[in-house]
Amino acid sequence: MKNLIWPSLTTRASPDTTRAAAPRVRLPPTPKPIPPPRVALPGQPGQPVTLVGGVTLNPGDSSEVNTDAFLNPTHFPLEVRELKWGLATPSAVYTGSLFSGFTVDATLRLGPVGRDAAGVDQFEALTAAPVPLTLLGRCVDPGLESVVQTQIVGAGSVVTLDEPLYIPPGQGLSARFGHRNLFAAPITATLAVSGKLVDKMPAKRAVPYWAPFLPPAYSQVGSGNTTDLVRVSTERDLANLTGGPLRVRRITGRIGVYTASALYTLLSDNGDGTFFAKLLQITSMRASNGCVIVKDAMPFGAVFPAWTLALESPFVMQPKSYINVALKLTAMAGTNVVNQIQPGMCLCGYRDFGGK
Amino acid sequence: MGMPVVLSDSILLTSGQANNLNAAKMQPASRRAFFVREFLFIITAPSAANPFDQGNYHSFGAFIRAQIKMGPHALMTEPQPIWALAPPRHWVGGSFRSLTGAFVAAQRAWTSFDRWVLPKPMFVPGNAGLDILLSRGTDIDTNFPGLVSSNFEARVAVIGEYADKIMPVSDVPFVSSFFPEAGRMYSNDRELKNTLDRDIELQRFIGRIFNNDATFGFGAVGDEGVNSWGGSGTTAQQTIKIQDPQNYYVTGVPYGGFAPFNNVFPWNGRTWTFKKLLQPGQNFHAALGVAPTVSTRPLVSLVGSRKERV
Repeated sequence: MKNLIWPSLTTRASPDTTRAAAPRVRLPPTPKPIPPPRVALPGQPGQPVTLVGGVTLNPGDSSEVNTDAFLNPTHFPLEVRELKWGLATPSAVYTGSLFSGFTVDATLRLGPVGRDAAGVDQFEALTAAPVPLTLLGRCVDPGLESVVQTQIVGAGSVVTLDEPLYIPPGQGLSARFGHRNLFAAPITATLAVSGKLVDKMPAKRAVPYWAPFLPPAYSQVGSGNTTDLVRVSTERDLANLTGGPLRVRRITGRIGVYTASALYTLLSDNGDGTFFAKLLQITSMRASNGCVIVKDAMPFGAVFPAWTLALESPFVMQPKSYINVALKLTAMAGTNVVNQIQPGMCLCGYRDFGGK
Repeated sequence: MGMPVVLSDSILLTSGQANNLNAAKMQPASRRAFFVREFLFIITAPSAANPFDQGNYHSFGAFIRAQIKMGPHALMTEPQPIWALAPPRHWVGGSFRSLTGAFVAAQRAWTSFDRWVLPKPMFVPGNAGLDILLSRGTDIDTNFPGLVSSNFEARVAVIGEYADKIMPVSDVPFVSSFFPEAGRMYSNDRELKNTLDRDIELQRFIGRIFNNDATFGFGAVGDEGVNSWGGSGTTAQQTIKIQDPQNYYVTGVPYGGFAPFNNVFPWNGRTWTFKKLLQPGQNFHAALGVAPTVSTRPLVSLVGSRKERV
């Protein structure tokens, strides 16, 4: 309507007038499909974090650790440097026993733990098969890990990762422990994941990968046992099943020894090593590409020396390649040992994600 | 990073005997070039009753000497005690164990070896192998009559990796030691010396004291054991002073004084790591404050490496 007296006050009666005067509202962008963690705890980059979980297993049992145990509960990525495992038995009957990381194995995965089934495909397997805990890392101290038959209960060690493992916010480790029935009592297995929070995920990161070879144990290898002495790995053992190149940092190799008696049950790593690290021969070790690692038969302990219990020689394995090993227990005539031994070996390597 | 390779062979040595390892076993399959990362020396003393019971601690490294050549290049100009090659990784008073006492099964941990991680990986071309001579002198054995008649099984394991490419030059280690017999307190001009015609990049000194003590059973030997000859005990403390090639004392305060052996070579590692270039013909001089006896013999060695065209 035109105001003839005050022309400047002339307005339009059109309803469009009011719309034009309204401020423009810009909608926010669509949020990225990263749901926040279900449990968001305060935290800031640089803050140390340790996540701990555990489970008690009866002989022969296998169980997943509580899914929240190894979930990164903050809004920042968690840079993991160490995995620390521990074993103990709640049974008072076996308080005088010494047992080793051979008694419990672990299956580890990295991904959105605790989600629904749709998230299963997002998991990255860190283990090719259940890995006895003692094979996850090299020997920390031979004085601790060699057998000393004292009143020690349980076992434990630290696995220092050569390259950090990054757990994004809202994701975590999924750990399943298995009681390998080498010990006749329940075992409580615990795992601690230690690291610190960081600003953001690196563009290029490495994820650890373990691929074991765990042949059937030699049972009752006492005097006179001359049969069933050879163990050979298959193409599924010590294999790179990741689909990409695997940077192997070391091959761990240990011998678990166990003796049951009325007084004690002895389970040890590298125990009685003078016997078994010498009597157990590696007759052949070859890579699937034809490369000969061990040409002539030699003692297990010559390849996996007692200080490290690992063959520390980095190399790269292509996808679907593997290392083939033949073990043979040499004749035991004349010895006075009645034990059972469980040799084990494990590839410890890293896969690369991201970057160029 | 090539694939790993492990070579190994063993021999039996009686007192006063020397023998070469099988040269064919010291070459990888197809005679490929490779790098040596470390040597393992594994020594056990068999007995008739139980071949693995006796003396399973690394004290045997004082009994056996090694002389290693890579092609024409010697890693030591004369046989060196295995103790002189590498520091103990895990020094314990437990190295002082009876040679003749049998251990119960649960105590047989396989620590009877020395591990020599080379200063730098040594490239071994395909046309050159490793020539390893092991010897067992009578100088120590004669003090242990119970061992003279027994064979020592000496095993060497060579751990390394295949070479991805051919290298024109190799980093070859060099070792020279001073392991005096009873009564001799000074190193001579042939010991702790660069006997080659090229510079040696030194890595470390190693110092250990071989001794035996009957109170721990017949033939009990170890690296110093528990009586602290190295300086923290009360009896016959061993001391040492070392002069560099320019005759400057590198140990002792004030200059020229003797320092307790254990201060120079502490129990944790028994090693003194440093970097220095030792020119051809130069040598260090070591002097001991207490005369060695048959039952307490200090050992001082220098370890380094030089570059050789291969």
